[in-house]
Amino acid sequence: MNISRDQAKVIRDLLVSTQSQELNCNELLDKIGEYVEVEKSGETLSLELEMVKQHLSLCRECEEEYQALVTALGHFVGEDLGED
Amino acid sequence: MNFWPDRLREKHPEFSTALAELREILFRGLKASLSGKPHSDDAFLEDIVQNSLLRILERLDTFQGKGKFTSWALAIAIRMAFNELRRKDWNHLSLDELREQQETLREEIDKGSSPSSQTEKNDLSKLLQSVIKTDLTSRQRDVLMAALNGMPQEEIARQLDTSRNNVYKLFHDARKALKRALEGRGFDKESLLIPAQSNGYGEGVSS
Repeated sequence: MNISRDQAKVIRDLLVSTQSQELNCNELLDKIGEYVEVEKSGETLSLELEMVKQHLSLCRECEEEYQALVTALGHFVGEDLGED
Repeated sequence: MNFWPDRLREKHPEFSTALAELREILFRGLKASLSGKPHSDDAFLEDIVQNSLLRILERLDTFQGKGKFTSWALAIAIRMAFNELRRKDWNHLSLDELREQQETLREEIDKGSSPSSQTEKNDLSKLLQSVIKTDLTSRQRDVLMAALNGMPQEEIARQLDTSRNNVYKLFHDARKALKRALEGRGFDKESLLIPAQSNGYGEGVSS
C-alpha cells in the first residue's frame, strides 16, 4: 500500500487522537442522545461522554449523524415529546 | 420518569398510540435533519421510519434511560437513514480497484517530489508506508486504505463481509499499531504528530 503525502498527514492527525480505549459505533449510538443533551446544557461531560466526543473526532460517519441529530432535536425545541 | 419504553410494549394499552406518536416524531426529525439531501423524499423517509420503529422495538431493553428516549430513538433512525444514503451515494469503487489506485500512487509520489518535498516525504510518508507494510494485517491495511479514500464504513463492511462495528475495530487496531510502531522508532506527539484539525479523512487526500 502506497500513500501520498496528504494521506500521510491525515494518518498523522488520526494518530494524535487515537486512544487505547475507544467506543465503537454501536456503543456511541446508545450514548449520543445523552451527549447532545448534556453538551447543550453546558454541563461538564462525564468520562463516558468524553469518550463520545473522542469517537466523534475520529469517525466521520458518526460525526455526520451527530450533526443530523442536533438538527433534528433543534426542530423540536419547546415541544412536549412526552418525556416527563 | 420516562414512560416511552413502557408504552411501547405490545401489551400496553397505549401501544398503538405510542407507536403512532413515535412514528410522527421520527418522520419530522428525519425530515428536518435530511432537508436538502438527495434521495431523501417522503417515500424514503417513510421506509426509514418503518424500519427504525422495528429496530427501536427490538432494542427497547437496551435503552439506558440516561438521556431522553426520543433522542435515543432519533439517533437510531438517523443512523439507518445515513446508512442507506451512503450506500446510494458511494461511487461503487471496489476495494480491489482502490488497491490498484493506491499502487499507482508510488509512481506519482516518486515523479512529483522536489528535493525539499522529498525530505518531508522521507520524514513521514515513507516511514508510515513502511510501518503500514510491516505492522498492519492485510485487513487493517484494507480498512485504512478504504477510509483514506472516503469509502463509507458500511460499504467497507459490506465488501469485507463484516459489520460496521468490526470495521471500526479494525481501523482502531490499525491506528494503535501504527502509533506503537512510530513510538517504537522514537517518535512522539511533539516530534512527529501535530494536533488533528478535523476528521475529514478521505476528502481530497490524493496528491
